[in-house]
Amino acid sequence: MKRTPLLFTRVLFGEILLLIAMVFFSFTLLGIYGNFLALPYYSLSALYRNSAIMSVTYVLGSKLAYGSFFQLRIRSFSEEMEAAIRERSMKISKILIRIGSYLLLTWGFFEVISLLFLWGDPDLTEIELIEIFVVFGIPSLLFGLRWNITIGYITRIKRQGIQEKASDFIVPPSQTPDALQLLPTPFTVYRSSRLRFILIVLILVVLTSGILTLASSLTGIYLVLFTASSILTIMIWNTLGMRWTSFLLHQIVKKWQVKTSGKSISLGYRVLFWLLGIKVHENYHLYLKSIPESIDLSSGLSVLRERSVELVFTCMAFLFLVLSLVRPDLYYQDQVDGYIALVYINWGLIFSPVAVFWLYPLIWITNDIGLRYIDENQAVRSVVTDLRHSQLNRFLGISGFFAGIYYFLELYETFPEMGAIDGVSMNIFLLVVEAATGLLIVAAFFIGFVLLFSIFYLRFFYGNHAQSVRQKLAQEIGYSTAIAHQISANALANAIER
Amino acid sequence: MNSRTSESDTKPVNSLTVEAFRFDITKPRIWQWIIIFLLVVLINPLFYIQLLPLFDQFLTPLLPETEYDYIITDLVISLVLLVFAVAVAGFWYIMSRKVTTRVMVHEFIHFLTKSQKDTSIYPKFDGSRPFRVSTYLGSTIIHFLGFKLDPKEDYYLESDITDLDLREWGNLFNTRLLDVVSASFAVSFVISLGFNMIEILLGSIFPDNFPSSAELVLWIMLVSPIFVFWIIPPLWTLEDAEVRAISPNEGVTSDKLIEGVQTGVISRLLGFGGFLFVFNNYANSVDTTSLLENIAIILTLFEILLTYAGSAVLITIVYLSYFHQSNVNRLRVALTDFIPVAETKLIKANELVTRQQNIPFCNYCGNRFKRPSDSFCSSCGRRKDA
Repeated sequence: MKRTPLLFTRVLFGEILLLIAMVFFSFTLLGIYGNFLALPYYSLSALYRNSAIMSVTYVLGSKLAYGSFFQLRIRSFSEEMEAAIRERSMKISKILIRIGSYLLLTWGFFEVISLLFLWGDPDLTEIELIEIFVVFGIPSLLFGLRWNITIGYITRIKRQGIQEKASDFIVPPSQTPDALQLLPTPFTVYRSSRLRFILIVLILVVLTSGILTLASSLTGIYLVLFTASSILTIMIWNTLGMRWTSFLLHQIVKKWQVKTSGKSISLGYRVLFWLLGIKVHENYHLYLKSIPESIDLSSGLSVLRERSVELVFTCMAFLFLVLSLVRPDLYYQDQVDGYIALVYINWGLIFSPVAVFWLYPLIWITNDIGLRYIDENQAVRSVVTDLRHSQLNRFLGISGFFAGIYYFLELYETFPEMGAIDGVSMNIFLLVVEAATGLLIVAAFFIGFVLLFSIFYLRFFYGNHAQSVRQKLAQEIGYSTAIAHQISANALANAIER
Repeated sequence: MNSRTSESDTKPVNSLTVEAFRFDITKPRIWQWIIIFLLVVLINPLFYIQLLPLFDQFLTPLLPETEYDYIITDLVISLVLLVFAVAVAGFWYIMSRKVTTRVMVHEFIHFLTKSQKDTSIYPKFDGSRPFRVSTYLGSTIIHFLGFKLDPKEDYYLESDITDLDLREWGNLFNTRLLDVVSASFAVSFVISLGFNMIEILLGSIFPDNFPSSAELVLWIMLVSPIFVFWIIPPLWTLEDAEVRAISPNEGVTSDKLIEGVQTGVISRLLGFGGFLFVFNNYANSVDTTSLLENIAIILTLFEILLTYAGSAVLITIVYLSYFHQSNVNRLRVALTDFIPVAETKLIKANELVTRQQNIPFCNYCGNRFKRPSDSFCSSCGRRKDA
């Protein structure tokens, strides 16, 4: 392996250059915006200068940090970098990155809070405020978070030691497959440090309340409602949700055992399994993966990507289905204020995670305990994929989406000031795009809250439940590992017709 | 209970028969062919009824004035369609042979040169390339489709392959026909949209009676299976060749490569987004004003889709029964030079524990280490000698 002595310094300088590039990117965006609106103090030459500085710093930074000209890798390091991290002590680099990240985060907070306090100040125009927020607030928050996540990755790599390699699961033809050295491990939730947890929660609260402040004057009430809803949701999920989840998973195992013994299962369960997409077949072999995937809470981004987004959209689908049946906006036709309908959506959304207690703990736990099956074609599939592609989920997704769009379309017809387009001579495509944008805005309102809730729930309540479900199921079906036993070259040569 | 594992244990290790390795397709029976053809003959008129006004507009001035017998016309059209189906299936085969085998082999060579893999597992790769044809365009297409090889992952070919039985129609409909119909539907809309944009940009190059985009879609749908040669056959070939992935976190996962293609850019574009895009085009050209009319247009589109399915069924079944098998086998044989061929097996963990008593425990949390060579405990994160 080729090693370069200046690996870490190089990456650090590259990151700083990327930060500068991000700041100038914001300058460039504002310049385009200002030139487009012909604002007085945006000149074209400044725009050209800013974009030139941006591109040069970006290209240089990504070349220094990642060795390629156009790359902004956030998720993981290269293998070379991981090996170097394992070998070195990294004390000075870690301290440097940590100090930098906290400085940037503090600066970003300062900008956001000043934006909140200065909003409506007659001395400053809105453009100036947004300028402060966009040029300094967003880049420093983003890069502070990014460097903080990097620290999490470094500690995880050093903690884990040697990670599993994919080639561990291929057994060479000379060996028998039993010699594979893999043991069943418990399901773990890697918690982040307390400081980072508090920081993430603070950031989310500030961002959520900031967005709420921009939209309405009811921030305090919303925060109280968020807290109440979180407590209620956690209570319901922990009691009803967990009982339902473990009951259903046990039933899957039991019915599979009934099926393999040659009997047929009852109609009610067949319908339930068909709705949930669960396949129970006598030729399948159901098992628990001996090494489950752990959850890493040190990065809020991975929780957002893997758990919260899906939850938000299911909640919205559920809510809009209910709203299209109940139609609360019809009773308020005489009120000209169209935002009353949006208030309904918000109030409904805040309490909608309670209503999906029967689906979401089930999906998360089935994913995390590693429930899989190998079918008659020797294909390994996970049960959670079937759950996600189930008839019920598909119905919820599609009909919820259409119900949401339909709700917004009607809203635009009733309150024309909410949509820019006249309701009578409408171009359906533009209207649908606008309604979908409305849906996305609602999702953006909601996602901070759901992320907060999921981080709390996963940190304090989830791990023990998942592990106990896994242990109980293991008594029935046991842990297994799927491996690929390689065919020797001689046997292969005989089998191929060229 | 565990039929798979017990069966594989009784087999002698490291033996592979020609029949197990080869991908075979069972062709439909003769009466099934007859039913398919009758189905096409019955369904097709519905599609041509929608085309009738267009025929009147464009073709009637050219044809001599005679009385047409409806049934005979339909039979003739269906026979023409049969010839067309065989031709299109052959065209798919010829074009996709290059796209699938050469480009995918090229991708695997690229993957092996980029990531330094263990040579004891991978067959020795000497750097020579079996095909001289430049595959730049092909690999662009494949990447655009969502086919991606990750250097952290490993890939292998399943040794004992599942054969395809064309006599089971339910499975065939779910897995293959929906793919073809939706893809060719969307492609024809995209092409008509292209014509439309050209018409807007350089309006004068088309004659005055050039069909509007709503009519153009119907014309293009007649020949649209020609244009999906770069989506459908590569997707099916990859699916049936059973190239499987192993990722470090998830272990053996069977559907990973196919999932990438199915959730890729093109699939999204040709899926719901394409439908919306297309719908706007169609609705604009018909000049709708109310929501009800828009819903009626959606219903019309579904009706067109349904009636169009006849020819797609025919093409699919001809391609699958006569051409697909050699495509898959060619890819599999070519890939054996680069990636390992292996058999997927399940191993129970309890057997492992008894064999590995010598793996030490952690001094702090009491859990066992994963491997003897580990220096850190995976549960509590402390050092072994601490």
